[in-house]
Amino acid sequence: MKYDPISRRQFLQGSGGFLLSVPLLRSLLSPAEAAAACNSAGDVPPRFFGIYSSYGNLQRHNWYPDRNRLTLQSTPLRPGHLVHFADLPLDISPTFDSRYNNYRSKITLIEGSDIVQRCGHGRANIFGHCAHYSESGVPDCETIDQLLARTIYSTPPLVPSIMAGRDHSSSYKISNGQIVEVDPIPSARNLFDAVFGGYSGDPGSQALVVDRVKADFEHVRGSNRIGATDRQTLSEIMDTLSDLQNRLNSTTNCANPVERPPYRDTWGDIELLAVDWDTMADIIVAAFRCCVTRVANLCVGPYERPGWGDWHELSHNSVQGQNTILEYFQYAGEKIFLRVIQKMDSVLEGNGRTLLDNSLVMWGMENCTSRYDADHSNIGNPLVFAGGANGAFRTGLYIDYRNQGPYGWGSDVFGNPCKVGIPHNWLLMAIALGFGLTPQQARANLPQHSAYNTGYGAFFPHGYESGGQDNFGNPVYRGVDLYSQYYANLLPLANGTLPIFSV
Amino acid sequence: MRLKGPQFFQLWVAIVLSIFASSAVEAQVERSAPDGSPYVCQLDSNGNVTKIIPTKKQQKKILKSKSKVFKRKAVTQAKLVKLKSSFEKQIRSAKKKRLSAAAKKLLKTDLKLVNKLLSIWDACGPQLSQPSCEPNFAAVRATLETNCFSCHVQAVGSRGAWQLDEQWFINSQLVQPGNASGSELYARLRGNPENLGPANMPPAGPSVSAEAIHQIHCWIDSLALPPGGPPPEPGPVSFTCNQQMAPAPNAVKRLTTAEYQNSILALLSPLASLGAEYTEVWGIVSDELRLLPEDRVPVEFLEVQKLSVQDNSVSQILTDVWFRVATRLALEVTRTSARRVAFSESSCDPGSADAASFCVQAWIGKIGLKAFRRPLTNAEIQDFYEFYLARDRSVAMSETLVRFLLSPRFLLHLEIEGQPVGGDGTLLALTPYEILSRVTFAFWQSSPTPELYSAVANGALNTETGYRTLVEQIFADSGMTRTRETVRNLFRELLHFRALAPINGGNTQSFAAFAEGLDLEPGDPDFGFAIRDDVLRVIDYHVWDSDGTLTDLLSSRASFVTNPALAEIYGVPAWPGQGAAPVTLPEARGLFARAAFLASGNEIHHPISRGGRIYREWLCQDVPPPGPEMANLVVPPPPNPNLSTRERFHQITSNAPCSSCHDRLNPYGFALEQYDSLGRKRAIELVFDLDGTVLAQHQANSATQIVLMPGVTRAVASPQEIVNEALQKSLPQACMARQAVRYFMRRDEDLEKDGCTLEALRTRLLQGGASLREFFKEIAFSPGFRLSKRAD
Repeated sequence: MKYDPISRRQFLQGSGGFLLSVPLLRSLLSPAEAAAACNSAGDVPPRFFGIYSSYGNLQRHNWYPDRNRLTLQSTPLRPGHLVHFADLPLDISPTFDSRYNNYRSKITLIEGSDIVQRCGHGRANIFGHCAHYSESGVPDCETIDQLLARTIYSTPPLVPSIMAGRDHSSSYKISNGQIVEVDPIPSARNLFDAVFGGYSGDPGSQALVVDRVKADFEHVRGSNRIGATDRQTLSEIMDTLSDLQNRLNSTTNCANPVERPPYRDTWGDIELLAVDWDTMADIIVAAFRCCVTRVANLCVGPYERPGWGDWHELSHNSVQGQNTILEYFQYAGEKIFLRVIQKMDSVLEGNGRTLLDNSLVMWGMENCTSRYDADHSNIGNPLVFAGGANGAFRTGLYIDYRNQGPYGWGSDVFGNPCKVGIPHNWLLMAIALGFGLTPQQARANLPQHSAYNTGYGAFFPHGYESGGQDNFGNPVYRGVDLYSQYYANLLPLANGTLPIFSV
Repeated sequence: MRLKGPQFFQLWVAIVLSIFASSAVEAQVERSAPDGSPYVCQLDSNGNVTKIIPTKKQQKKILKSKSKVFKRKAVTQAKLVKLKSSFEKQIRSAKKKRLSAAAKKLLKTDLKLVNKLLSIWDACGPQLSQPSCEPNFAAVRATLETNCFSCHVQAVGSRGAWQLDEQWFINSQLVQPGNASGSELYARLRGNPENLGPANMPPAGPSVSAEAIHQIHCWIDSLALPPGGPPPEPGPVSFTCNQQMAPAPNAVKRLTTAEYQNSILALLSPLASLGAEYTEVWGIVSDELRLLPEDRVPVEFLEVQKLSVQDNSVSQILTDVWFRVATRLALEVTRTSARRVAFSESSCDPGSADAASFCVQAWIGKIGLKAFRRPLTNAEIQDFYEFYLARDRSVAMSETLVRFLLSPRFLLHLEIEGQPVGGDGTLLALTPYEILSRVTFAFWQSSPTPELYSAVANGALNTETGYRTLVEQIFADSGMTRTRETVRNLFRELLHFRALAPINGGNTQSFAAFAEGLDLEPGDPDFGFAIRDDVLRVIDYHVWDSDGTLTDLLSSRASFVTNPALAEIYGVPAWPGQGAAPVTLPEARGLFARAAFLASGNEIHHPISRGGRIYREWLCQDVPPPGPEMANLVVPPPPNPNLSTRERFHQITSNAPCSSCHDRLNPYGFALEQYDSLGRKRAIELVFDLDGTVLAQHQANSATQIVLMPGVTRAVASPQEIVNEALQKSLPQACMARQAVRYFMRRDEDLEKDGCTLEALRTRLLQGGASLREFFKEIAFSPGFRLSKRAD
């Protein structure tokens, strides 16, 4: 029996008309209808695509443009805090070389967005979560992709968000009141199956089989010989069966928008891994295009390949290692970031803009652009954005939020001197606002721990580490002190849009 | 220039008085040094020494000397220690250096003066601030509770969680009764200015007051030595068996990835008669099986890895793959009538449109036995038959099969059908079919064969003799391929094969220089395979082919090296190949001196990683991972031409809080310093620049002292010496027993509740005991193996 999604939709709509008032669900639309609704003029929702590179440690001069080549403009962020910005030049930087010239007007590089808490290997830190491998006692929160997935939909789709990545996850969600890591989908094939089904046979009929299987589990779970721990395990499996059943029961939009990819054994083969990344990007773009989801997160490398050596050693132990790290980021840029923006810019949507224009792509890394060995600092993690989320953010700019005024020098958590920027929480809040959230919505599930309940993302409790002084004797922060002079001044602003970047 | 007498005296006084001179003066106490010479100690309000004032008699004595020791403006206690060491060294080499008698005498004078000052310092320590010395354990206990217990209430060090009673401190060797100065507790609390020796404690926050330290000193000195002198050295480790105690609970476990794959393969075996069609079906199904998530127990950074078979997590991806495998397999095996007939092992086609009820029910019974791993009840057969009948005939067989393959009785080891043993009903004696599954999954990582089901149906497990016969059958599996692979997997995990980095194979200049002379192709994957393969074959050889013992394996000189570069590293000709006897290595290279254990992937070896694997995986010694606050500090020290690798790693781990664990952990790695990161034996360690230039060379020093257990230290200089000493204390045997419970029963051992099982297993491994093959077999006869305890 061939499954007919349209007749199924019509049936459900018809039933709904008799039984209860069911809103029209996008997930019940045919591919063409779904794409049309998603892309129609005036109803083009912004999408968020986070890309996260584990580890990192690329130094700033390899990521950002040479400031001497720029015509810098300056504007005060607040009295005493002067920021610079400029149009992006051709051949932006060693990482964003001439291959990016065609997309220069759609890219924004932001420098000086400081993750003020001491995250170390805080995977997902650029998305607001800091607790992975970091100090104990850090107030946790979900990452911004999960915040968006929870709040931006008027009707939740079947796949509210995608977390893809072979090794690591860069996404954390709220589950039963706890912050838990989202399992990454490890391969393009898994991703296709999760997003577009990929089942053989009749999904509707198989959903009934799964329903019966759930009953079998229920029967076992009810046995008096099953202990509480085991009952919990059985419940977890039943939850996954329910999710599976939901997917089988739904009609997937844009049926077969891309081919189901083959399984690829990518271990030890970065070239094949790059192919899998590329396919993942295809699937995510297709999912955006078909409105299967509006939020995606992809966690990538770095991965060793012959000649690159051990990343840990490269990051910590050698100046020469920086060349290899640059080589990796040029490679990852070409294979992921550039491909993503190329693909997204090739899709024209109902409002006359491209999918890229209507989205915000954010790429960053785990650790900062340290000039120092053995550094896990997160002061000014390198960031690049593409697209403007349907006009919510400016593009084509290099924005340096580090204070260019005379009092700009501080020190990071290891005591290394650095220029003070803005709290990353502000940037994340600006993104949330750009996607239509209110500050109250964004902060609804954040831990309340400080007089400065502003911005989005994890914060340290105040007083965790005392501030130092700059060369002029002014108090400065050591990465974590919310009561330092700079943050005392900046944090009250962090519940609003971000000047220059936000429109 | 030599100092004149008065100048010398002034300097001497200045040196001594300058130390802590800024502290407020509280008291002066006249005391005698151990040699009887009088002097005055000046103390601050905390009881710290601020000045040591020599008496006039001493002053005269010093003025007469011609020492050149004090040509410096300040000196610390640590500096005095260094000076002492330096003078002693110079005196020892005086003959070799042909020093004059006068120079030698002067050195001796210097040394004498340094010793004098050190003795004054020691004697003038905190104890002088409290002349009275009344032992008071209650006060000591309060001090320790306040200053130490916040951390040591947990097992933060190798001694485990502290207990605040006198006997515990004696047993743990933290204190030596009657000898406060020689006690670790006192030394750590008193500390010293440059943090030499054992790490100062507490690591953070205010130090313990001099008064409190004095109380501790008094208490330790007051402790009586046990009759007959110091306590005897602890004997070999063992486990306590309490026959009355039920084994630890075992949670319901899902099939591991390997178990699931093997079970699916076993289900498809009836199709083998179809030849190419079977290959095609297996290809399609295995394509889906590859999407199974890897079994791995998630741990935080640097935490001890658990065995992958202990992974009992479920995830959406796992369920999705289970579903997809089930649907794909069902679709393929029911695609044609020939396949359906072959799969059902019947002469009729249970998937045909006109299949008779007996044909369908017979198939349900057969597939049910394989899926549920026990015969279905009549009610279950009826239930599945009705399920079948409720579906379109074109998909009825396929969807019924999907239901079986997604059933909790197929995906999980439920083990809930046995008879209760004991009072509360939570302990069950497994049914014969459950026992059968437990044995085959434990030793084959797969479901039982049809022959074994038949044997059980015929009452094979109704007697102990029958059970023993079954276990023998399992171990006599054709060529023991499944059992071998199961045991290999255990060793793969204990040796961290999965984490072994790819060997760079000359792709960087520094590695190329390091590996120069070896027949290693750039990025040679064969070498990475070869170093593992040699070890696995050695394990096979000792476990299965030569009835070897654990001692044999850990001291093995056998090798099956086939890779030319590895043969060169081991200094032997390559093994001729299948069937030939192993080649004999020039020295014992058990497991810890094999390239697969020693290799790091590049030219820089990691002593802590090496030592950690021995200490944790093979001796089962607990080392807590660095706390999250330390995660950012865990950075390997960069190569430094001025230091050997051993020195580099010692330098970054020798201070608190790291030293509390690394003092014990590192020596296990340092004893392997005679091997480089390709497993080559060496006397000299070379330090390379990135371009391959040799920057420096250092002696490869593997002489060290390991702490086997509290109160048992041994001087060792090689991995084999570690093995020999540890075997004497039964540590590897006890550890292997614990690992066996974790691996074959797929749960953490409980030292108390599993005491009988562990002790039975340990004793099988003692020298003169059973072979490893018998040890593994013994697991099936251990007290808890045929029981199931509900986990609440």
